[in-house]
Amino acid sequence: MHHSYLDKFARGNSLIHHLDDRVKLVVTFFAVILIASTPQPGKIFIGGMAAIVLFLSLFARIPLGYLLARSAIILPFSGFAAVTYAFTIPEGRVLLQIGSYVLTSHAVEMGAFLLLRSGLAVCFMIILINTCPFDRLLSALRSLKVPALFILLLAFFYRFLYLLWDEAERMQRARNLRYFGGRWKQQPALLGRLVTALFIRSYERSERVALAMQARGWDGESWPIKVSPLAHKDILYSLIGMTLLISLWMLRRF
Amino acid sequence: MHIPDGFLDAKTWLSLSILSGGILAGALKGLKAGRIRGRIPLIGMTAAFVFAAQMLNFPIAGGTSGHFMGGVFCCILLGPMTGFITMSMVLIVQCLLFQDGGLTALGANIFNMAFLGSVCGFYVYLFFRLMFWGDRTRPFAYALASWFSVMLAAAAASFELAFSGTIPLKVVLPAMLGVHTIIGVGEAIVTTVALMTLWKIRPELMKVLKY
Repeated sequence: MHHSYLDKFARGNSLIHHLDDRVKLVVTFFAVILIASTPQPGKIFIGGMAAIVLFLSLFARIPLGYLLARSAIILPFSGFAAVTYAFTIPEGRVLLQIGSYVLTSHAVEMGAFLLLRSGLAVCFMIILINTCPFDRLLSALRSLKVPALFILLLAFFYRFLYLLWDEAERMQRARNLRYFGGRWKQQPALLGRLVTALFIRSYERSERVALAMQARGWDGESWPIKVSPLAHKDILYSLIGMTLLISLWMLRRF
Repeated sequence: MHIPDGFLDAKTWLSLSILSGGILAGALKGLKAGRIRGRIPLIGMTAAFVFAAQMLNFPIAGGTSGHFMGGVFCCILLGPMTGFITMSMVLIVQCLLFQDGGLTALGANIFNMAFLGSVCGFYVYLFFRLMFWGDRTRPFAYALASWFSVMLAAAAASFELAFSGTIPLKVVLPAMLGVHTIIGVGEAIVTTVALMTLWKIRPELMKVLKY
């Protein structure tokens, strides 16, 4: 198993871990929405958001290196988009010219800004998932009125995710052991056969699971809602968080 | 192709979130109306399967690697409605757990990959099958549908980025379509081989699963 890294620190023991999950969910979603929908934010907004991320990660004892490594997930798309974007801004000092496309100093700044902004949003999400295990996240979503059937499906998904992931990894390892690099042209077709094998295994497993559940008298759908009233610390956290976020949003032009 | 946060403006992501949320709610309602009891483990398992299958990758020249997306695969096996729910679940968990794709861009990603990429890809397949009936055209229909699904999703993502004012259309559309032409060929090969293998070794499974 190499995949405990998904929510490695979720079962930690800090004040943030013990906060009510609904509060964390709503405040984090609010922060991400603010970051994503502020066009051309100023330095105070970006700096303030970065400070909040830093503070939260220190407080929840999530190493910064881990945060950075995980947020690299945005690089393939954002990097591609930021580079494409940078070549479309003609103002500023010309740094590089390829054909009819020019890269200017202003454009580099804007591209980096775009990257930084989506990086911050991703950091908020990483902190959320690392202070709130997925099953508790599902319960929080359920008490925020997401349909029970969908939560049930997601819970099933999560239950079998690691199992099938292990299986996929085993199959990949077996392929790598027996297949000496070979011609890269054959690789997609080989992958296709692996996918079929994996699908048949998961389909048969789902049949067994369905039968076993019905044999034990499963009623079709049920997902317990655990609603506990908000404690004082939860209300305090949401008030401070919301005030901070809204005041940063008011200062977005500076 | 997962769009992160910050690349779409408020009007684009809000409207696409409402649209995708509406389609998803409708699909769930449709699922509830049918016989779902045995279907719930299957859908959950298939979503986990797509997730795991996306972990399998194959090397392409130059240190990069490609992987399988599985939208058309799921829709052809499970039908468009169930396929859509499965792919949406994959995208939601990728967003929440993996941070692959942004929270505000979730609606856009679901629309691009689960609706256009999977459901519309499925109808391309169905159209092709109805035009050219017979088992010999099967692999062509699979390949065409999966290639189109990738291109459709890439084109939609470009239009959304341009509509948000992030990148002009004349820059982003050729860049996205250019990259995804090759990705689409990979997806077409993997999907076709996977479905043809399934057709060869477990044809009864495909009959049980309808399409």
